[in-house]
Amino acid sequence: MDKTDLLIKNYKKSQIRFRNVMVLLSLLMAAIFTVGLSVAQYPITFSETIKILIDNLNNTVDIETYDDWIKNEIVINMNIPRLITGMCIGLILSVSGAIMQITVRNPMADPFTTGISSGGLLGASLFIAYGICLIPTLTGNTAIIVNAFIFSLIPTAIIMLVTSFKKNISPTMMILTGIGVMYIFSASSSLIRYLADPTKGAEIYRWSLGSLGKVTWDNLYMVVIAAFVAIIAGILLSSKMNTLSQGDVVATSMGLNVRRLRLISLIICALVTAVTVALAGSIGFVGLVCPHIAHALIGRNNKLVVPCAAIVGMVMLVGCDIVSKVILTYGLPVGAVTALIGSPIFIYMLIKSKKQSW
Amino acid sequence: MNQNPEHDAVTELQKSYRSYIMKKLIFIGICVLACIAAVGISVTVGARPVSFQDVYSIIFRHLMGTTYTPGSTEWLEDFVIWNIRVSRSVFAVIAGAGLAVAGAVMQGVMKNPLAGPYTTGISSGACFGIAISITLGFTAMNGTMSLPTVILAFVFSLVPMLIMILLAPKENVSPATLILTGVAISYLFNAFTTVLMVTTDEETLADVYEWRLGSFTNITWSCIPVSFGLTAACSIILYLLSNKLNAISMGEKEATSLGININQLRLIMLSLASLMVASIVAYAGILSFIGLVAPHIVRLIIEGDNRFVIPGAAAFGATFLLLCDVGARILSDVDAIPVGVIVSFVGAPLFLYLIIRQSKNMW
Repeated sequence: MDKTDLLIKNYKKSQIRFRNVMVLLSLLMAAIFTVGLSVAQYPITFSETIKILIDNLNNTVDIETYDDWIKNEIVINMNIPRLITGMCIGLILSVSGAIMQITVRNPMADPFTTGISSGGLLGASLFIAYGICLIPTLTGNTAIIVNAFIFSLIPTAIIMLVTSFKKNISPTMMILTGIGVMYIFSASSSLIRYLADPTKGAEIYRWSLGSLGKVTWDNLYMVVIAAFVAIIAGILLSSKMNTLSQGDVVATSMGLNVRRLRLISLIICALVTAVTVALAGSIGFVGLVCPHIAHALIGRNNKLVVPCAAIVGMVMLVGCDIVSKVILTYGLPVGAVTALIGSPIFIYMLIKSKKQSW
Repeated sequence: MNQNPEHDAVTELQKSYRSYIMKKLIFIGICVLACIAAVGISVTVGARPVSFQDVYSIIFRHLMGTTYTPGSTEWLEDFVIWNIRVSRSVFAVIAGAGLAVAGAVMQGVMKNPLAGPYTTGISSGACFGIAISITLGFTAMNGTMSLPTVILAFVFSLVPMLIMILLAPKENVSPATLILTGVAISYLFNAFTTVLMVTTDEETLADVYEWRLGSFTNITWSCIPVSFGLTAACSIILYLLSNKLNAISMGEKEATSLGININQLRLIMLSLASLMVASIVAYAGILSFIGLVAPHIVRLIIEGDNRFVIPGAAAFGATFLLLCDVGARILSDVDAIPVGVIVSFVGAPLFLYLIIRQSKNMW
């Protein structure tokens, strides 16, 4: 009786903790969003931003000077889509990371360390350098996006192929297969970039750095849809993930098809991450670090971890993006900022992980 | 006749041990011969069409101390052969051997078949050190300003190494975790390098980029002393420590009971390996996978005795890199393809193959 009481008490405690953490993180997110509205290389004051927003909502925009026009343009057509993109991509990466770390049983798994981004880069390089697109009728940015998307799925496809030939494949081997493919793809993109002429090479380089600025109102819907898919999949899978984290044997004895769950979650992660790679390039460390932050905040129950990781991811990516816009004279690629901020956490995590058993 | 069965068993054992050693020595001998042959081929391949015999007579005459009037055809040919091809081949031998030894040692120390200078991120760390030295103005790329660059590269290669030391002794760290960590570390250092490079112009970027891929284009004789000195010294020390490495591979308790201070040994061996890698990366950039694949293949053939794996891997790695370089120059006679790309193209599928083949018993 005492034990049950204690369990109930602990459960309630964790629920309350979860609620508090979520409220705090949401407030933080809202604050960052508000700040992010007016941050740009071009100076815009906060009150001007509010005025522009209200004018746009009331449809009373009046543009008299070039200055007015550019400010309106920055706030409405650059900052807002960029913030929404940042939120969606942060959510996607973080939730995919959380799902992958549990299902392939490795704390270092994330959509990028397992090679999805390398496929995207190869696809983009092929089009930028030689105009090769898998769907030949497309041109311009659409072609890059489509190419990157399709190529990002190849490492996962190869993992699935290997899995279907070898029946009792371990999750370790699934990851390593992805990494092997990643190395081959990276070598190919290096060669392409090297043999292409310098201007195109530089363009590929810029593409590879990762930036949230490429998304506009026109293609924003893609990341929004992907974000919804990611969070819904995460929530639906979370109870199965809880079972799986008890170990393969226990999970199987509880009627879970472990292999199928692994494949399904890999496919979902690959699909949603491919969208982010196609639109924003590779942004590392978000998917690696955020799920661990979520664990540190609210423990190991995946039903709580998934939403918490989602919002941590949003905060981290949007925050890093804002920093990336103002740091140094020219700004930095957001991938570099996430690496700079994420890596100390990552190293701390590695050192601390000594005590935990994965 | 057999008065002393015990003695007999001993001779039997000695015999089988001798043949066990012989097999390994023969393999190493073959690798060394292959390496010499590869050097021989390597000096005859290049943009300037000089016939096979001529190449050797030029090298011979150079060694005899013949000098030519500057500007003449003979002078030019002598310059091309001696200062470009021979120096390049010598460097390829140093780099291939050094990286392979570093890889063999790392695999042994971490007891992880997928460890290597590239997969653990040590090369990327060194690469970042070099990017710093380039922005500070110590241009490593023309081979003139060498020592500060090597030192910076070494200092930054220690960062991933320390992470690996923290990670490696844990029993529950799988090869996958190590490699994923290596990938994450590479991401990190690439980001740092990007931060440094983001302000430079497109041409410098292209230069740095070529060098990051791993290229022998700028190798001259002035690159040789530092890299040769460090690689040779580190390799010899590591070879002398190979008995202790064998003890480690039996298990931590066994090694400790033999009086080995495991943590100290790990630190020393990995630091030496990093130093060696740094001295190579400083001149040639990242040459991926040699350090992983060469020792691995050698282990497949002659099994895990590190006293033989280390020299075997050195000879094999040197041959492998020389052949990749020859391949790069045959594919493009103006030296447009960096050797690192060829190495990755050969090495990455081998890596994938090793993973799939080994799925069950990862050491």
